[in-house]
Amino acid sequence: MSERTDRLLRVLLPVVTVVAFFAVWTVYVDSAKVSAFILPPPLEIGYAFVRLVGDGGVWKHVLVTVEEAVAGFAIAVALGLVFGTLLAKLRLAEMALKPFIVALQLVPKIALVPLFILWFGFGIESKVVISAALAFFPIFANALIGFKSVDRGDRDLFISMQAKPLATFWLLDLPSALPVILTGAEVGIVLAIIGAIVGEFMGGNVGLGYLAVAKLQDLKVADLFAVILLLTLIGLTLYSLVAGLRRWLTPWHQAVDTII
Amino acid sequence: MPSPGSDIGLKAVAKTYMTRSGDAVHAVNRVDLDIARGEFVSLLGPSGCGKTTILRMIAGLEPPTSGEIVMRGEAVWQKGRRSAVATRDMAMMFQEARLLPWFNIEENIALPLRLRGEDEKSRLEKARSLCSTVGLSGFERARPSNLSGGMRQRAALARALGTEPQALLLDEPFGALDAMTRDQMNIELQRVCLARGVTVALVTHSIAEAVFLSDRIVALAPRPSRVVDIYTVPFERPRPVELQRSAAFQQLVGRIRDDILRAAA
Repeated sequence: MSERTDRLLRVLLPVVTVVAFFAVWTVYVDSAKVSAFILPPPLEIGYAFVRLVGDGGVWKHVLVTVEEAVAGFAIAVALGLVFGTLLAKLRLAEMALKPFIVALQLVPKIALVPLFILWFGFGIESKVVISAALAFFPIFANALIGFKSVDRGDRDLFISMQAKPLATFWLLDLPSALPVILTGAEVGIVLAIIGAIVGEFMGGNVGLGYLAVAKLQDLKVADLFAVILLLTLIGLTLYSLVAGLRRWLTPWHQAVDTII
Repeated sequence: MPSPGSDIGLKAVAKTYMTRSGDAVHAVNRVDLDIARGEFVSLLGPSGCGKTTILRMIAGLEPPTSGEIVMRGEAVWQKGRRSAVATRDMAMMFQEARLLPWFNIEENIALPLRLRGEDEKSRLEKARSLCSTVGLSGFERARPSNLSGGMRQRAALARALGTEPQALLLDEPFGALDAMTRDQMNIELQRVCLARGVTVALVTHSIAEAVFLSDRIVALAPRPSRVVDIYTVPFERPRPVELQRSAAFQQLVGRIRDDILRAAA
């Protein structure tokens, strides 16, 4: 296969897959006479999506959900970095805290959502907390691994150059660990969005998670699908931003792109 | 010829590791050595003879189990901690170039100066001038990954020279290079060391390399690690590459090889 056809197929084939997916969907709901309340045909979802985006009312929901997810993600990054650094640098802190943090990770955090709403109310705060709780672990774990796997030979080099601990951190530890930390952040941003939506399912009267529940209660299933599509696009955008950040900040790192 | 005055001194230096099963492994057994100011000394031997451990103890990277190491009158190890004063005027080169991929070549070369608090303009100026010293002009802004192995070690040499060290500690820095590049690098190394009057301790397993570069050679044997003999190399420095083809050169290489093989047998 020539290089040109190869490149062409790389673009063309995924499009064919998507078109085929919707074609099968359309033919199925049509021929099996599936009720539009259960599974609307794709075209109807398309119209619902255009209506949803065209109606100015949706943007306040979008804004709230994005705000919750981004705030939760930011808190998770800050806490993940602080604890990751602390546990990587202080052996005693690692011994004391690591089993506890890992055990916390095993608590199904979705089950904590009602508790967070009890503590932080129906407003944006409880959703931010849920987002942060979900996004924390992958960022923390990757920071810990990243800082701990700094090359020993590079450490020797810094010792031989009489580097002070703080300079070693900024010029060696952080850049060494950054690709791994940002890979954790890519997972973290996806979890932060999930956290915000789940929080909105449970309580409150704003945000795309709330909107999804409201559409279901109105039995507007095509609109529900439109909200899901919108959420997917928001997720894709936020994920791409973080992945782009990794490529921009660590251009020397030749990692295979992560597939979530 | 070495100028008078000792630069690096080792007195009864030994290093013992404990294995997990509780056995003691004698990596270095009582080494006594004095390296004079401006002298080029090689630590030569097969792998496992403790030569790298000796160098790392001098560099302050590994504490000796017993004995004393002195750099210009200052103990390198004081109560089990490396002395910043004693090691300040040393620079080390490793088997790998160890250039940081997030810095370009001039930033890498300027790194030790940056760690000493030198401002950006002055340290990058020095780095550029060092680039030309080691033949890397035109590659100041290149990324380490775009350089060949030999060029990376040139950059590592430039980085080691940046702080104008009095002693260079070289741990097989050209071991991973092909033979032709290696010869070239050794000529370069000889030129730079003589021009700066720097004291050098070189770890190598190449007898010819040791003979070509050194004033004296400390030959070591493994299991148990010990000093076989210390040889004085009679040829005047700087030495031309052609010296390696001379009968006297080959004779000395042969003699050292025989001695080490006999000691290791």
